Amino acid sequence: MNEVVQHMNSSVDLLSLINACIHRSESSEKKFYLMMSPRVMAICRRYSNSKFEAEDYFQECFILLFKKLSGYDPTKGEFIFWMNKLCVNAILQCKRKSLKFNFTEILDETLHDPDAVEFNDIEDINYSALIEKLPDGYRTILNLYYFEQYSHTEISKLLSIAETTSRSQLSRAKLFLKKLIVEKNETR
Amino acid sequence: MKQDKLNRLLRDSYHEEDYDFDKEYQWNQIQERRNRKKRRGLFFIVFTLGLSIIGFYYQTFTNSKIENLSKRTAHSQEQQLSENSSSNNELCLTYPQVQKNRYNAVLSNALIKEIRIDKYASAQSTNSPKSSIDKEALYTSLNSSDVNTEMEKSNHSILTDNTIAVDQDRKSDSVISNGNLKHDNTSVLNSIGGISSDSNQILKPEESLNLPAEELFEPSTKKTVRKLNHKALFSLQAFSGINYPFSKDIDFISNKQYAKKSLENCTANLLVGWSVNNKFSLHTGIGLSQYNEKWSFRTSNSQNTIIKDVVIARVEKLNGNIEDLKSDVPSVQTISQDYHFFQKYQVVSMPYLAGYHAHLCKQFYINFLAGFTLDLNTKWTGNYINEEGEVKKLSVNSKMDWSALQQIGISYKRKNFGIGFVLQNSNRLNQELKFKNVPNSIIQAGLQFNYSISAH
Repeated sequence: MNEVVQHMNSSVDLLSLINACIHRSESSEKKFYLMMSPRVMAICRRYSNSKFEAEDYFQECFILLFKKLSGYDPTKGEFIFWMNKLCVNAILQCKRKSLKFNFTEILDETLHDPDAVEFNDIEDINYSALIEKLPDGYRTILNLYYFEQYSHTEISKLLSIAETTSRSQLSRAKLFLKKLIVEKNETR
Repeated sequence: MKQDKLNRLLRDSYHEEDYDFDKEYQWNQIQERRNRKKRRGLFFIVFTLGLSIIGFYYQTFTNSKIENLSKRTAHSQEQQLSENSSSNNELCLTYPQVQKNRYNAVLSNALIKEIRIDKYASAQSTNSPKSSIDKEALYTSLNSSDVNTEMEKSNHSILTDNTIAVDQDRKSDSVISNGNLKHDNTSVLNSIGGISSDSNQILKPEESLNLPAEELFEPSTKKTVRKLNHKALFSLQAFSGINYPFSKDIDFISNKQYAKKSLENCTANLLVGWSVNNKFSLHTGIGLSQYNEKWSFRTSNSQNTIIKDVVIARVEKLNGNIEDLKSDVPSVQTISQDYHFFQKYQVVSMPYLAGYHAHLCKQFYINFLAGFTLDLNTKWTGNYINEEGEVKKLSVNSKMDWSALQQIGISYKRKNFGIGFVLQNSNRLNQELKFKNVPNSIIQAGLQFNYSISAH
């Protein structure tokens, strides 16, 4: 991954590659794909609960990327941020199409205070595997809040939900995650 | 909140992870889906084009069918009328078959067979001072060959341009109105109107007698005939010319010595046009444009070098020997470097153009065409100059790009054939290719040959 980041930093090469991709140079497209696929796949995995779902999103993301590549303006920001945003939007679009959004209310009597959740004592846990187990709504909001750094207002606008729903879903996501961690610890 | 432990843990866990997946398989899937989308787009274009062609043919076919039908109707009516006119007791008026221009033709081939008015005249004789008109004299027969002569004889005149005046001199003239013969001093039968040079309409005798004077010669089938308001024409246009590509950024060689050698710079296209009317037309077809250029330029880089053992002076020693006085002198040396690069450009395009033709005189006209071309396939192979000024090689293959196309030309036309000189300018709409010296604008100049086909 670090190699990819380093590669991206050489912006001149990246811009040349993007320009070549805009004009459908197949070799350049392939090069671009190989360069960006780990990052795109990581985004897709974060928003999906299975490998197959992630691969679907992955394809959608690249199709949209190649289509919208000409719209990238280097003066407005780094390509990676632009690509991240585009991929997230593509995934959310897919989710909307397949009506994946159901902001489930999973209440657990044992966990009342979300702020009391502490993660200090948890080490060596594969969080990505745990996040995969989260319900779709929880996972999406958790991702948008923690990874994409969106505010609740932005999330509410993006998902067409109330701001309070976003807040409550995040709290519940954290609770749910905590519950999963506790279960994981108990099984050890 | 965002900087809490969970945030860090989540981020770390994801960044460290590298997912295993079949990259090659996914790539193939992506390519396949993209191609499917492209095919869908192409299908839509072909479908639209096909639909418009079918629509055009349908329109042309319907028009010609209606015209044939009206001709057949007229012919059958004429036959029926000829049969009816054998009887002497009927007034038969057929609509003249005007063969010449409507402004020049005078009811040639007129088939006004017999005007038997004796019984009407006798019915009116008591009311008119001119009742002594001889029945036989009023029994006028007009033949197609000598309409004017007969008209003069009977003091009936036929005015051209859709007006028939009957007997302005003779006081006891008759006006055919509402099927009755009336005596009137100013008996003018006029304002017939609606006589078309290309219509062969026949009035039924019964109907014509009951019509008012203004409508006497009005074609009974007028409403059923849809006249074409233009001559629908196809045209085939073959254009061949030379390309003058314009690069946006060639400043990098402006201050350097360079030589440009063009090898193959030609363009050709074949267009099918449809004249909407005399002035406007629509065109589409296929075009091929290519050029192959070789460039070379020389850069001069300066650098400081120290040249050793430069003889400054020669000194003669006391013993008679001559010794060179040497020094290490720094000097500026110029290193020249030659760059050679090439570019090949090939575009297969499908233009969609709308045209306006301004006629200068009968045979010369100026065309203005504007529209878009769908660049089906664009291949570019060549060198480009990167940010550091280095020459690099690249091959670009682009599909389904759009260009704007403007064309101006002057043409000479004789019968169906035409020849003209045409200048056209093509601008790539997608100008994202930021490599230098790749042209986004091409001016093409060449000859165009036209062949017009009448749709009927």
